[in-house]
Amino acid sequence: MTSSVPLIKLNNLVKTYTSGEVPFTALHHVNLTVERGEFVGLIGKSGSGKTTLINMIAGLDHLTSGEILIEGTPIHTFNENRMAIWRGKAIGVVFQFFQLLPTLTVIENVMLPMDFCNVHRKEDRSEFALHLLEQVELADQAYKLPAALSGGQQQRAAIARSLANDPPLIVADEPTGNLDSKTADQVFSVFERQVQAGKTMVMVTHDGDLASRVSRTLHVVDGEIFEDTAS
Amino acid sequence: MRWRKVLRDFASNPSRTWLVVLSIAVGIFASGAILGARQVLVREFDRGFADSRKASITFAVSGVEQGLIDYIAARDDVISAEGELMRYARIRTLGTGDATDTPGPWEMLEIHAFDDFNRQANVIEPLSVRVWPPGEGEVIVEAAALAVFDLEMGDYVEIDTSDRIAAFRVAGFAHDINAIPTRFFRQITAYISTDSLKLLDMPDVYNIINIQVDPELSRQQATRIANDIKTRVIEPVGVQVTSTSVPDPGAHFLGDIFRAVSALLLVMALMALALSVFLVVTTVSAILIQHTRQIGIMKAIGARRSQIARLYFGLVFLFGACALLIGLPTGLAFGYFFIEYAGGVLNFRIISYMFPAWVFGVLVAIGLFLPLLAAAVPIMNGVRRPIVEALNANALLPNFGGGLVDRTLARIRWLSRPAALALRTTFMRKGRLAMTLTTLVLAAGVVMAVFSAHASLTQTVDDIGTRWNYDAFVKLAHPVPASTLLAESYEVTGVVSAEVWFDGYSIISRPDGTRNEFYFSIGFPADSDVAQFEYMQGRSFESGEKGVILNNELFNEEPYLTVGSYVDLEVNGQEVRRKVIGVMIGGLSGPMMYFERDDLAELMGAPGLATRSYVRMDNALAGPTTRGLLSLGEVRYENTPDTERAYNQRKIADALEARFDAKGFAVNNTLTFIEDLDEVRTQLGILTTFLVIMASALAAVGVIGLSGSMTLSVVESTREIGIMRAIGAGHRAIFGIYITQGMVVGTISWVFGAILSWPLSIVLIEALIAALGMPLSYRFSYGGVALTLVLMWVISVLGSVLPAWAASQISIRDAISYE
Repeated sequence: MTSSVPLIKLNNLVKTYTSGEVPFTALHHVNLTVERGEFVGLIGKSGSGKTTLINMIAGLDHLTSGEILIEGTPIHTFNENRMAIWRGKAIGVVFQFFQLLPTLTVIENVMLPMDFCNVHRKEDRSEFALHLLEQVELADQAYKLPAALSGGQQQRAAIARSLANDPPLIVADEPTGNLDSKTADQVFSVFERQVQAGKTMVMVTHDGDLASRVSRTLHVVDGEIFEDTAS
Repeated sequence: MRWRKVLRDFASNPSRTWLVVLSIAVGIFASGAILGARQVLVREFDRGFADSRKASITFAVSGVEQGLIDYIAARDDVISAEGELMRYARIRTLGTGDATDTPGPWEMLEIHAFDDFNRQANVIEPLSVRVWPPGEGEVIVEAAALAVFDLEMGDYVEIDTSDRIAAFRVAGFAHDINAIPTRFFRQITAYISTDSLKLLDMPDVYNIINIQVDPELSRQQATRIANDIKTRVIEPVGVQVTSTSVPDPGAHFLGDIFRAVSALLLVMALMALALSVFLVVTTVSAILIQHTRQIGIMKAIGARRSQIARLYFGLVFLFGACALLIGLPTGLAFGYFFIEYAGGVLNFRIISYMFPAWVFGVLVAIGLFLPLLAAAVPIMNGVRRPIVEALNANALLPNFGGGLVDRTLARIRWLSRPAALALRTTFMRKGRLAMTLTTLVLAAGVVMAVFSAHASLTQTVDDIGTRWNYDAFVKLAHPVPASTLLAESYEVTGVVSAEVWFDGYSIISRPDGTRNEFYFSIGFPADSDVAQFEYMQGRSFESGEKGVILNNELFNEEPYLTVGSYVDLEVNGQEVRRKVIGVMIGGLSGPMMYFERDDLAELMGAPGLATRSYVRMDNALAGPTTRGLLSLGEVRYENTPDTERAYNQRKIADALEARFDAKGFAVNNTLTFIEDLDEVRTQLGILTTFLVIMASALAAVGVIGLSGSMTLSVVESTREIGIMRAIGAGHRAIFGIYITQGMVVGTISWVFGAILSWPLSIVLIEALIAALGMPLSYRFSYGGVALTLVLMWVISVLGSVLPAWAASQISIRDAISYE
């Protein structure tokens, strides 16, 4: 793999849902290229297709036609199992509702992707997880269960989890949507630091203030990229 | 519209629907199969036994002719009187009569000869017969023999009465519920007409008189009639009565064992039903939790509690109806096979397999109404929840970390995260876990108790083995001089020691004046090397001592006899009194009494004679002794030390038989030590089989229970599965988590089951002791406990594999869109 290959490349991406009575096309022939180190914000109204688009990039959903290449890898050809294992190593996913596993402590949540993907030596995992938690200022909460943390702390723990296998790309679907503005700002700062450290970030957001802080904004309207603006 | 919701809820989640339906169906299946089978067996047993019209009084006599029988039959207090000639002999198959057919091995035979095959008492029922009654040279074989005897109609058999050997053609098979089932005791029963007696050199007289009196009469009243007939009719004409039997009306000799087995079955049916209720409550509660938000929405748009409750009761009713469609026919089918098996073992003839109507009623109630009852609490709790709370209910798992158990589990840090996740998720829903554990703990406890019961029965057989010190014995039909029998025994190559005994019979005169039982009696030398009996009470004989030793079965039947008391006996027509000096532990041989050999021989009018010879063979032939290697019911000659010993024992027995035959001794039966033990093992093995069937049914309920619980866990954890997929969990990782979860439950169940199994095994052994009327050695099976752990893991994997597979197949999109 050479660095000249874009991190994300979408070619003629179409996604049609057929589960309802009438088929619904959520994405219409989307083409997109994202280079390493970019902080991309996806904005748009509800139902515009931004979540579908980010799910496609993260390999969380299957396309109808077109191509998705991540670091040149055609992930649309992967089956569910291969996709899960590849995703664990290549992409960090952050959800709106944090989605920490309630039966595992914070540090165990962070170590779980390491166990699944086996990317660090067993004896190093705990130390690396603590290091990530320090980055998100949660080291002192490491051995608590998620239920004992505030929303902002849970989301920072989820970000630490997304970094567990040191993926080049982090995708986040409205990661601040469930947080107050002060906490959202703290979380966003964590993302900014990750981008500064060389990660690539793709994030869906409704928050105009935060959207203005990203390096590139994609405005999604009716399943198409209506506007592609670099800050 | 409302009912459309019920139908959609029913169809929308097929795995959950299957789960609920199967949970209810398993209850219907197990209760139906066991309860129905029990009722059919009890009914058919009672009917068969009643139809057999068991004789109220049976005299064993020295020989009477038809005239005396007719005289007895004419009495006002007698309904019918019939004579027959009964004799112990031996039998072997000759195949189709072709000269190339090799004769089979000799088997013990109880042969009955009579004129009228349409009997008034002790009725035998023709099953498949070419002619009825059999003609001269033809024999009807009791059908239970087919379990051990390869025989077809038209085949030839050879019967050896020790006076004469003759070939007979098999004219058919009949059923006699009063015959000893061949699977219990390796003896064949057969019937010939009196025309055939001359072929066997048997006298044309009767030695058994079967009398039927008014069935309403008590045993005491029947005994009075028996005594009157004996003293005023039979004995005055010079006929000796060697025994008088007046059984309890309606008492079959296997009745106690059968009632014990059927009681166990009833307990088992109730247990399966209780477990099914657990499963229903668990699954319906889970559905209600998943529907909490929907219930809130329905309430918000105006639905009343009663309307919502009716919807969910309707859904549960639909589940029950489908379960009935599955559970009823499968329960009937399993019940049918069980009846077939049990009927075969106990030698009942099953005429109707139809379950009683009330059983169907119970099953319909179990299928349709019990689930409604079980669901009532969760449904009413669900619909009572305030709207706001319902609308905000999280469909995800409940909070973790609140209780002591959660906090303790969270402190375990040495586990891998997937393993920790599996362990802690197991404890998320503690109510459901408790119900699942109850099912599995009971199953595990019963399985381990059955292992202990089996170990105890095996130990009992081994203990019986230690009380006998011989390799082979030969029993003669007629006594011969003891010194001759001893000398001839030593002549057989390989025999290093021999001891001769005497067989007889005796009748006890009870303190209440009744004297109505006939007991086999055996005389052995006071300095016997063969008999190393273990005594419950008292001791063995001293040289020349005139006393009796009872076995435990006789002791149970005549409980007033204790060591030191005197018993009045009639032996060979002589009235004698003997002191009870001991009670020994026997081995399911029936009630027996032991005398000092010379004492019994003298009482039987055969001083200095003997009827059986026990021998020990050269140790070089014996091979190392390792008990318990042989299969149940069948001696397999494989190249192991124990089977080598069995083979050599049989060779010695055959050699003894051949020598005695050549010397003109009337050989009645030969048996080796290993064969003898194997026979006891077979009888006890039948009980084990019933217990294993019980335990297996419970284990099956456990598998379904665990599977149900795991399926619910998967359904409720759908979003967690999606999250794990999103952070890199492949199929194997997800599958592994749920299999581990199942194994955690299985292991916990095993721990508690092992604790429970100790008292359960004691109760089980006590029940078996009561049923068998013999003391059993108790041995807790630690091996069984270890084996059950493996079994529980297998059950865990079986119960978890489908839910785990389903979990591993959940796509991320499905998981994330799950509500």
